[in-house]
Amino acid sequence: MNPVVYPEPIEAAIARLEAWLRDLGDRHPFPGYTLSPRSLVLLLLQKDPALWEQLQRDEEQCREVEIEIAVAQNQLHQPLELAIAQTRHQQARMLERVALQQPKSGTQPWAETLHQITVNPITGFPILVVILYLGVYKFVGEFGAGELVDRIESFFEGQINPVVDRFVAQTIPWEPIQDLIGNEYGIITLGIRYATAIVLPVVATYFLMFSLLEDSGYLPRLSLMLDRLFKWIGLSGRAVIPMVLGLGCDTMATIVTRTLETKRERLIATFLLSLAVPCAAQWGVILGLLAQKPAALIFWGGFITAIFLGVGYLTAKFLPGASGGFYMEIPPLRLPKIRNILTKTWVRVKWYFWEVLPLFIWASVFIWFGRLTGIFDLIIRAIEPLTLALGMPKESAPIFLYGFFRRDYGAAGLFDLQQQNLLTGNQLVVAAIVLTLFLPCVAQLQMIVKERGMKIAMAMVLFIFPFAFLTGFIVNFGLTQLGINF
Amino acid sequence: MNVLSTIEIGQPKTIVGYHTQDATLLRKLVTLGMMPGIEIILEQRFPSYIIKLGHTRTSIDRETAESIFVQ
Repeated sequence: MNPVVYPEPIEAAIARLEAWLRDLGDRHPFPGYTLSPRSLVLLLLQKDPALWEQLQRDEEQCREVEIEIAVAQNQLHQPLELAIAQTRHQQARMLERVALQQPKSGTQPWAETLHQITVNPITGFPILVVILYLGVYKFVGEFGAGELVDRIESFFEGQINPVVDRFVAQTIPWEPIQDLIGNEYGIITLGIRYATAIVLPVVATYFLMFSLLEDSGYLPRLSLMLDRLFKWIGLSGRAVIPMVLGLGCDTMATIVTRTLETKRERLIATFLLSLAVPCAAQWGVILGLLAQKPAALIFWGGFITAIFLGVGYLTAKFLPGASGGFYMEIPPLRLPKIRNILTKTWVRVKWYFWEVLPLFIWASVFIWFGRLTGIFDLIIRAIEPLTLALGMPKESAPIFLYGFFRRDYGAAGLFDLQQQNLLTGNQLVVAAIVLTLFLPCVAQLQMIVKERGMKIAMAMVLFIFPFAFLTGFIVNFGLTQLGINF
Repeated sequence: MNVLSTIEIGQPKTIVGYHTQDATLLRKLVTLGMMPGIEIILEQRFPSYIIKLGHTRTSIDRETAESIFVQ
């Protein structure tokens, strides 16, 4: 097999730089690298960011390489990087010609047909809606967040909580310690119960669905179908993946915004995730809450979508800079392997559960501490006027406070209130909207600080907090004025 | 010479050059294999441009399609 031979000016530059590197001896700029000198030099010629950062520590060496690049570039009639890429591409094509024999009918016809109908606008958009409806709404929402949550919850309520409560009452003489472990807000009776009964089934079904979409090759098609819509809110089709992931877990989705091209896109995506993309645990509970009132559910869904698009549009309009370009490889559609999907789902659920369980336990401990010292009573009393302004009963004040620790935690608290028939339809809708828009859970807030920096995180918090309450207030006012009762 | 966004669907064309100064975009196009001398077929325009090149398919937006010259 022939080695790759680049155009003469590049080969000459490679030879000179190789010799130069060798002569540097102790002053070699990259002593830790095990790559061959030729590969190192080629990376330098292509302005590899990691190598250049290291090289720039020595001005003299830096100038040496820059001169070589300029000399080679002067003799080429196209950009140096392109010349390198083209040479490699030609080599690869030559290898392909020698090594690959293509039978007459190369692609499987069914995969080809399926591809055509998934990307054709006439058939593609209905398919997209059906996939999201079946995968996200039916499977994750109704089966995961409805059926499974109900079963595990009632198992906890019936089998575990009474045993724990009885056990702590008999063995621990101090009431504060009893409350830390059992009773209404204990680590086991609340923290672990919420994590296993609410988050676990929702997240497990969600990851199963997501892995299926991922392995079938449908996700890039989802991106290309929605690129134009996302351009409207200052994002690109690339951002579809973090957004859909946000419907599972916003914390994880905030990490994934890293894959977006520009800083501006990452900022808009993080902001929209925090404000208007409810995580599975959250919308799962909201779905359960509003299930008996389809009109209320549609109103909530429509309202949040409008906020998502409206706020996205305005952010894109006022935030300086241009939208990132969209380019994505479209792999062939494949029948997913069940084994791979199960492994992937298992690994993700395990990672997520261990990530999230300590947070729930901490939230329980925090609530316990806040209640014990009376700090929470003070905060709750401060929130009560706000909840009254939203037309909510005062009993809902703790939910907004607890929702601060975890969004889904707050939604689950709302579920408890609804079970006791304490809320009207309108109150449920207002609470669901405020909790959806509300500040993200502690874990996501930490992630925003980590990914976007303290200043941006604080700016988002300062916007989202009043915005959520104000929106709730306006919705309640509007519904009352118009005489609408859900 | 035409811009990729304006060519007929289903007709094989050859990339001849770029109409952009954006270094990141250029690098990305090269990585996707869209470089001068490569034969491509435009498959659809809406909702996104889909281009077949060699054994792969790539989706790009209008702005990107407007920055590639073909013949």
